[in-house]
Amino acid sequence: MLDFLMSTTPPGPIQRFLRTYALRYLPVYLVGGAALFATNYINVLIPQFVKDTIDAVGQNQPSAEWVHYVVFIGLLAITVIVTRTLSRIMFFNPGRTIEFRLKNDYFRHLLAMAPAFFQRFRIGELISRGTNDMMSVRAIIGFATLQLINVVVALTLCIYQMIRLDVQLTLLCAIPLLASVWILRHGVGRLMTLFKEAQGQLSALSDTIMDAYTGATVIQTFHATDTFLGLFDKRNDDYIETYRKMTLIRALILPIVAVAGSICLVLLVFIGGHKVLSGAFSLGDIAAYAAYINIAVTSLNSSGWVVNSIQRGVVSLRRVYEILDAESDPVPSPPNPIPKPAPVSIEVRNLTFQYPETNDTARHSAALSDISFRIEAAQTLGIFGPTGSGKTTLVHLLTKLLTPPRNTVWINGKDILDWSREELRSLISVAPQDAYLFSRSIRENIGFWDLPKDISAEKLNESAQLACVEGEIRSLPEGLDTTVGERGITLSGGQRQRVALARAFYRDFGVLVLDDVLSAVDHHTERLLIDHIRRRSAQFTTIIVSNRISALQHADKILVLVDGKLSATGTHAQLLATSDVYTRTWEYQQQEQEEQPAELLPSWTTKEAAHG
Amino acid sequence: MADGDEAQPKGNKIGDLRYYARFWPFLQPYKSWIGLSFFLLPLMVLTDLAQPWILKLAIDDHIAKGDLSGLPQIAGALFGLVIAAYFLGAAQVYYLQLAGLKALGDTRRAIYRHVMNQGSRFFDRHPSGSLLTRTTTDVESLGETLTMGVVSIFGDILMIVGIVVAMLLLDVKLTLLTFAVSPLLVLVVNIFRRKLREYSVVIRKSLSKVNGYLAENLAGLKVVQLFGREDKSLSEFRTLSYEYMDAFRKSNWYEASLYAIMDGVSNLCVALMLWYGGLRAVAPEHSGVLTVGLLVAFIEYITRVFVPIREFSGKLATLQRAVAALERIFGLLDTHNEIGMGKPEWNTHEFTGSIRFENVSFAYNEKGPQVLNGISFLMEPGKVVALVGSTGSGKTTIGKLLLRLYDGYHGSIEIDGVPLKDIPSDRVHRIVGVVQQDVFLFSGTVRDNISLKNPDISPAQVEEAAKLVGAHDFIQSLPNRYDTLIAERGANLSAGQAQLLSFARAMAHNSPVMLLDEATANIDSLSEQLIQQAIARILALKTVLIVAHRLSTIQQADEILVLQKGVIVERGKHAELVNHGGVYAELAKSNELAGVTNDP
Repeated sequence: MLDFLMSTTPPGPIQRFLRTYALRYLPVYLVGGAALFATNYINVLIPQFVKDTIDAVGQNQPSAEWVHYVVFIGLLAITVIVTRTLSRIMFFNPGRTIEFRLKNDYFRHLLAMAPAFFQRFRIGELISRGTNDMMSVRAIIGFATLQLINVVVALTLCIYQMIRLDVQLTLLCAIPLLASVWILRHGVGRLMTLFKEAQGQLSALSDTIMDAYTGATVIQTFHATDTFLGLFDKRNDDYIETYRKMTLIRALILPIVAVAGSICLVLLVFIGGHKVLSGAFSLGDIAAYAAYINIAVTSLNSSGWVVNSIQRGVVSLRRVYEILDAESDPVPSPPNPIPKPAPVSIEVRNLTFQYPETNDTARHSAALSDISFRIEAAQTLGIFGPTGSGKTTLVHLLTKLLTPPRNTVWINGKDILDWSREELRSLISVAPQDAYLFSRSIRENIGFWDLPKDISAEKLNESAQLACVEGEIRSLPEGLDTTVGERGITLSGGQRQRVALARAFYRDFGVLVLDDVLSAVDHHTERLLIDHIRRRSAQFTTIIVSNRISALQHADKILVLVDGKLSATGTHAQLLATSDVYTRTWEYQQQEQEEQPAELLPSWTTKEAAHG
Repeated sequence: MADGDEAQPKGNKIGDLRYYARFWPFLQPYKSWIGLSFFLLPLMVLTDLAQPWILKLAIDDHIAKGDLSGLPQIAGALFGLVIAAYFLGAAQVYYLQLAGLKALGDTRRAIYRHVMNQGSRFFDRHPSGSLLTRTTTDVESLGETLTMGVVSIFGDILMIVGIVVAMLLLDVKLTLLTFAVSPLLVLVVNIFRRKLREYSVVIRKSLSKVNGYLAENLAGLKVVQLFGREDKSLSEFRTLSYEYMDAFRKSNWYEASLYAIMDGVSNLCVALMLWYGGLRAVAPEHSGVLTVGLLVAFIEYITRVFVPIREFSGKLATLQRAVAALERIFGLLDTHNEIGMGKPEWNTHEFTGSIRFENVSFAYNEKGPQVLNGISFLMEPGKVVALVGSTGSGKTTIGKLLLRLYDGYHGSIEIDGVPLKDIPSDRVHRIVGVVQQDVFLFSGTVRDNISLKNPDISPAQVEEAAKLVGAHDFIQSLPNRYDTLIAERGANLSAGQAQLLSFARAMAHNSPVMLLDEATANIDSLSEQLIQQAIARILALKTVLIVAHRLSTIQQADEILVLQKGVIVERGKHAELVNHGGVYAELAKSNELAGVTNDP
């Protein structure tokens, strides 16, 4: 069991884990171990005094010593309260602290990972490793180890005493006890397998239910309620069936060691009875032996679980270390202090980028081939292209969410790989395509750059105004303090994007990147937003990604991406002359945009008035 | 975990029998199992309790007296009891838990069916996340308490009572002496349990915060990184996980002490018994000896009685949680927003699909604003009626009423002269097919998402529908074509592709009338063209009520209704409306639509 501590081959996760996290608590564990030993020793000692008392009292001429024995038992009973408490605390509390530290390290490590990593490991998987697996890992340095030592010490002491009393009887008792432990071990193993299965079935069931609930109206209108009920029934029944199996195992297997203990008592009565008659046993011995059987049963019962939870802990630890060992990108250290962000030039030369192979059949972001362009500080770059043309990939490379090859991306003449992450992040403010908001207040979402206590009300208002979301926020019942998401209100797609935009405006930056954020807003708001940005555009370099040309037409340079290649570059006017895709889209969108007012009568009326 | 699910019920509701009584119907189908279990329970307790007794007989009457004649029989009886107690116990626990388990499955099914039968008003009020919590988490926690708490609490009580009775029968004075410590014990257990319960609430809450924070920050990691907020997030995370650890470390002290005290007290009881027995043995009047057999039997009884005592108050707490879960579950089951049944005679009637709205007015809430006001129009079979208007003008609501998603409107809606209220909603949905703005895709194959697993729709019909709306080509380009699995909520499809699938779905279900809610979502130009073509085809084939966002879509409509604030302000064909010079004309003119009108 403990061979992993001794092994001399290259340090595996277990050794590293023990060394990094557990070693410093060694003194605590030693004290706990001592307390544990004392507890077990006393527990074995007590039956001995019971025996002595019985034998002393049972004599024809009772000796006065029995009173001492009784007092001893009382004292030992009180001592064991203290030692047992200590032993548990000395194991459990370091276990909690280690879990805390490991969890923090785990989270810190994940914070540094690049997007490619998250294609390898799904978020749900990472969360489960950070929660469930952490719990199993804790067993290694907490409960399971305590129990393991407990079992080993208690059994050793107990068996020693039993053998001292009678070898033959002890050997006979070993048969049902060992058999029952063997059965228990298998039962527990099966139980764990079933439990895992049940977890999987529960999550499948939840998915089915969630699908049905979110699509309830559609399911009803397509009269598919019965079909979906059938789907639900199947999943629900599967889950219940697995639990039924678990219940059966619990009912049959869990009491098995206690049953074996009772069989030992039968043996004790039968064989011990004869020994008493032959004078080899005293009556006190019978009482003591019965007590030892009890101790053995308790220990053996936990041994069935201990082995399993240590095994699971080791598996979990490997899973956690698989994440902790994943390489994050090497990063240059930041300059000190980080300079105030200012507009920068951006140059891309022969950038070719391929995603690492994924077996994901889902839509994956497109690769890029041979992209070159340059924009000067405080200029505006537009990136245009249909879905899947590589726009977002390019943005991720320019913001170093993805790592480009060396000598392909330069910011202010310095290779992006030589920029420290801190400096780059402080320079570039991004409103990403998926406007991810956190379930906290709108205030804390917009002021995400600062810790909640440092958020400036003035900057908050200004950025909400810039993002054209201020009025809507004000109309919410709790205004800026309204909580977003699960626990609060649900914002519409357009509102989310503008809150995310306000979040990008809130901070200082030298580069502003709008990754397709204008798509969910109507044309009127789009115009206002573009206007807001253009008025300030001297203060920063702007990158706007969109497949709506109206958002790009004022850019100093527009890239037209098709299938990961740069199909054309130029200003709006130049592209209308040179790029076919661009021109066709422009014409189509012009027509479409003009029709849009059907959705937006109020703004159309005001515009019309202005024309008139 | 949303909307305060963690909230404990106010006050002590363990005695609140109403909820248990309401749960009974779920258990009733399994009452024979429950009956069997309750029949086995006393037998199990008896066989269990008889063991120490027989042990005492063996030691005192045979071994101590040196009379081994009856010993084999006694040993045999003891063995028989052990085996009987084992099987009785296993069967008793298994059947009771099985009944509970099945009842839970049925409860979950009842909740699911209840939810799925509700009208749209219900879904407006209940976010699906919290409905999911009712259906899964609450049922789970009910199950936990049913199997861990309620089931074993009867056995525990019976066992405790049985042991006390057995001890009293064996030796009254010794029993009283042994339980002399029990008031103190109960006090200690209660104090510790209360503390532990307080901590367990803190622990549960802080754990859910830690997990929530982890989940959210990983999902939004890109944002965290882009904002260079790693350090700040880490420090927030540390604070949360410290809270969790701290609560646990404190609760460990109580937990460990409680465990140790129970252990120590049982040893103290032994000491007490020995002391008393010794006194009796050496007393001059010799009031009766504490025999070894009695002592062994008492020690056995004490070990058996302490575990249920230790667990008892914990089980009461789980009962309290069960009441909380039942309260929430029944709260949901008591919420009714079903749509009326309609008259069954219309269930088989073949409708041609002529639709009449007559002076229809409607509000979503009784207190809320009037969304529709005196809407009247007629749709002849094969014709296309278009609804135009700004957000909030009520055009989408008209569609929802037609689908019978909401009841409670004034005026009348008729299909082929039959009041809509009289047609079962299932039938309505066979007459009126729908393409909704928010495309609903579930995890399943492309084919299943089109047919919705309707057995009446053949694979050939699925493909035919897909071809009709121009979705066939992109489906063919998917890795497994029609058998390609669609990820959660269609994550692996573009918005345009998802739209096309929903068109295909509507066409596959082949209803005479089609309600088309045109999407405003961000769709790239290429898909956009495909979608426009699909709409054109549907308009040509079906009786269509279209909620339009693009005027180009509806130029061929037989009638266009222009809505403003729930009122039809203009109606007519495109050309008429343009000539009329009203709202629509201005709309069209300002967009210079006249110029593109003649384009195909």
